[in-house]
Amino acid sequence: MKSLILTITAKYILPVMMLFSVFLLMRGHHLPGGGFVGGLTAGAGFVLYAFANGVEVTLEKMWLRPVKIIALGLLIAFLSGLPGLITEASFFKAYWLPWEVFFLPKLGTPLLFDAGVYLVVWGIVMVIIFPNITED
Amino acid sequence: MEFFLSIFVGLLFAAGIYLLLHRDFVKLVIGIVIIGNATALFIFVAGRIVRQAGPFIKEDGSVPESFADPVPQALILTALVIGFGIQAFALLLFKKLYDVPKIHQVDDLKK
Amino acid sequence: MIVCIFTIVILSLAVPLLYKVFGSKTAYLLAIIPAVIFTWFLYQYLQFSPAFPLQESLTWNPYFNLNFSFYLDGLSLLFLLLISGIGAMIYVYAGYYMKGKAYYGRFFMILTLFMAAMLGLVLANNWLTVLVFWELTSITSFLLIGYEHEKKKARYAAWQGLLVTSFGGLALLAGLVLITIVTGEYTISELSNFSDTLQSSTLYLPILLCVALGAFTKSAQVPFHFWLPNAMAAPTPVSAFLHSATMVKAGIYFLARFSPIIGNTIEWQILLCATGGLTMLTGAIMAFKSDNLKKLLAYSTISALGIMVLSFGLGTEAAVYAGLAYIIAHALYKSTLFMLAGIIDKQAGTKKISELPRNLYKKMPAAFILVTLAALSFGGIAPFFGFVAKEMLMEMVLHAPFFSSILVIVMVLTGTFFVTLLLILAHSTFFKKKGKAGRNIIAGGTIFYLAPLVTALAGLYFGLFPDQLSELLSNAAATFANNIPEKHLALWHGWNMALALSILSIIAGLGLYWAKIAFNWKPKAGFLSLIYPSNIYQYLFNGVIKLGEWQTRKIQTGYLRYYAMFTLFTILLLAGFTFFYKAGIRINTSTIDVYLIDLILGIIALLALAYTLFSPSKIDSLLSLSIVGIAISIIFFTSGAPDLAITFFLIDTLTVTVFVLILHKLPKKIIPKTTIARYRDAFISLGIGLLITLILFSITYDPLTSRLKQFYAENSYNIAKGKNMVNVILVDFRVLDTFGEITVLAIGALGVFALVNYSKKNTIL
Repeated sequence: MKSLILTITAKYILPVMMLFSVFLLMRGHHLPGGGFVGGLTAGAGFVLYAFANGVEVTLEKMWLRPVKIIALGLLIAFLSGLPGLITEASFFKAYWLPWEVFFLPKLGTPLLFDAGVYLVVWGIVMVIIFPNITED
Repeated sequence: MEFFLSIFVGLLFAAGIYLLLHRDFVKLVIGIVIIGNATALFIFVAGRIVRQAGPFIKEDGSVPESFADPVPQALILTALVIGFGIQAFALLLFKKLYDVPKIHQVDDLKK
Repeated sequence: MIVCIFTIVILSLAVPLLYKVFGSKTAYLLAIIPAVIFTWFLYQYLQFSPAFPLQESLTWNPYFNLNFSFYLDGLSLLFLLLISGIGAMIYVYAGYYMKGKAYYGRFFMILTLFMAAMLGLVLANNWLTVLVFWELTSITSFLLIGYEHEKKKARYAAWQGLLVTSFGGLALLAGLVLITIVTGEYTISELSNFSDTLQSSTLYLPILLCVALGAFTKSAQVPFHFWLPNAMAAPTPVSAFLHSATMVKAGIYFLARFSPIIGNTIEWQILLCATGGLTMLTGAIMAFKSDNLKKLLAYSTISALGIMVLSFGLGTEAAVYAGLAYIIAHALYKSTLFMLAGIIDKQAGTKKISELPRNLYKKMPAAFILVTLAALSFGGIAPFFGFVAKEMLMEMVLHAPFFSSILVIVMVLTGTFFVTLLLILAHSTFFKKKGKAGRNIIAGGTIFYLAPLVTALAGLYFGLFPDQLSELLSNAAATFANNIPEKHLALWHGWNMALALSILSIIAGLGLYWAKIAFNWKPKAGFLSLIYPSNIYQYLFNGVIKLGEWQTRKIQTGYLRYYAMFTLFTILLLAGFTFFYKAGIRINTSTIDVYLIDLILGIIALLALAYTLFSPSKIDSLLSLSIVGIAISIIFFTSGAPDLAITFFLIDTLTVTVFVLILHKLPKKIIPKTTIARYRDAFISLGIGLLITLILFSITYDPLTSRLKQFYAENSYNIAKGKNMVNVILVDFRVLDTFGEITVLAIGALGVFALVNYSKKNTIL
């Protein structure tokens, strides 16, 4: 079921959706958005791409396999708890970096944790949907 | 608004349970989905409806006068994603079961 | 003390590792632990004996009044020394006994844990902690009894022990809760200040019964004694430990500990004396009828436990001293006898006296000497410590405040049986005239005899110099009452009534043994087995299983729908009843406000819902489902939850995607419901829907005053530096919950992963 329109659209939409998902993640602390929504958006983008080009091609283009993305997300989420453990002796206590970068939100462990959530959700969407996309 | 939403939630539950008791796998999973949605809405309504005002602090950092309760929202948000996982798992499980000969409907599970 | 308990627990976990390094020498290494404890506490005691009681405390959970508060007084010390002293011997013995057996590391791990639990039990002062250790001993002894889990008998015995003792544990819990209800106190050492309050309370009788039930089941009193003989299925070192110094003594310890708190009332005396007296006699008779060496010893333990319960029940000064002395005497001779029974069993290949080869004394002279030493103490023959204790027991019943004559008769009868048992052990076992030749029997290694030798000699030593124990016993007795005078133990009390009774029992015992030999009494089950409580246990056990099977057949039909239906119907009934009974219907009419757009949305959603329900096509019902989803996400959006709206929309889309992908591999046709099913399901589902609506009406009737909402509003920007409260809750305030949730998600994904890939070699994901 390859369609030229879909293939080309997916090719251009994927970066846009990824960018948008990261944007959702970054603004999540102040405005609607966050890791869950961002991860779902990213996942949806890749699902679309896989529809257009097939799962094999999609996976070849990725640096990491979806299961490893989940693992990485969990690891990041866990690690984000450690600074608080070290500085305040309390696991997951928020720790904020003292400087600010001009266009990014304030950087700290909550954002890192949200990034972990983002990765986990993103990976899950792919793990669940990819096996069902079969070219036949 | 709560009045009508309560009725809506009740109907959603009724529909979900009706489908949950179905012999057909697909209808059963649809039932699970509907019950999941209904539960999310149930928690949401129980936390009261505040129209148009999300749980956000104002730009200057002050607390707005009226805003929706953030607690049920946080609960529902995670529940939704987990619910998605469960639904997908159930569906895949049934698909696998279908690949096994002779299990085409829920009652065949007894064999 | 705390350090010591925790060290043992940690060490016990390290045992399998030690086994890897040290092999079968691990046991001797582990024996150092109890030996060190024994020496250290003995040293402490000799150095600072006036400093009693020692206290230590470590907070565990202050909210529940739960802390590791440990308390060492004379009574605890007595038990502590017994447990660690006998424990060290058991390790040495078990090291030889268990050599080369399977699961060696596991055995010693559980044994060490068991010992730690036992030590904790006698030291703990907060009753919640006591209960934790109490149950820990039940569980570890379950594992020890069922150690040879390949054997059905062992599994059965382990179950029985666990069920009986944990039943008692529950009763004990109830009793202790009642005590706390009356007094509000969790610390046992403080409870004695409340003894008047407790004893005049209306709850006194339930408290007494519950605590006694706990102690009686643990200490195998009639009618709960049946689990103990079956517990013989355990390896012999365990039996020796369980019977002599631990497990069954836990109940005795508990009675002693609670005697100044709820003891010395008429009810207490009647209950304990009657049970103790009955147990003494039953145990003695059953032991007399046993042919199996270990069974014989087990029943005699029951009898001895009865004696201890009786003495703490009487509660006079003489009785307290007699009971405490008997605990020591029993621990010493019973551990020796058990260890030797194990040696005989291992070397001669049988535990049954009737199957033993003839003239065993020639083959195993060391065993014979040691058995005789211990059995003499058991029978209460001078100059062993058993004699000293027996004299004190006779003294006790002679001066009992009530029913003195009956108690004297019971005591003399029990003594008679004990003397007979002594002869069976020392004579019948080793001097059989008939039987196999048993040529290949060898005596066994020297180290095998080391541990019983020490305990047997200790029995003799304390018999010769009983005054060595006077101070220890006096300290222990001080737990019962503050003003109890010190007492000096002596081997020779002069010609008195107690001695006369002692001699009477010895003569009667000799007579009984002669009669048994002369008339060749064969052990038979006899009339006792008719009302034998283990049969009642068996009936109950089978009954529960039958009931379970019956209701499983009735409810669990194997059809998924019926499971769901039963569950839902139960929910409907119970929740509905509670709702109407407690709350009733309340409708807040001020919430009947609606915009036109909502109304249109609602109608569309309901139509879509109806189509989802009744559409004959799968793909159609799926699409209408997604319409319902979109409607819900619009509701979220207009009600101040944009986060939810976006998430819900995405989830809805993805769910439908998964469905569509899978649908085309499933049959198109929907299997319809039958007509009856339609009405029935409609009834249940509409019922639940209605109930939910009413519940929601009721919830939204009152205005919500949420402190949480206020808290997050005030703090999410000030503390967590975020303006989106939902996100702040998820990634900052309740971050640990979210972490748990994404972990669940990841596990779910692994499930899907496994499900998809279980037959494939190369996974693509």
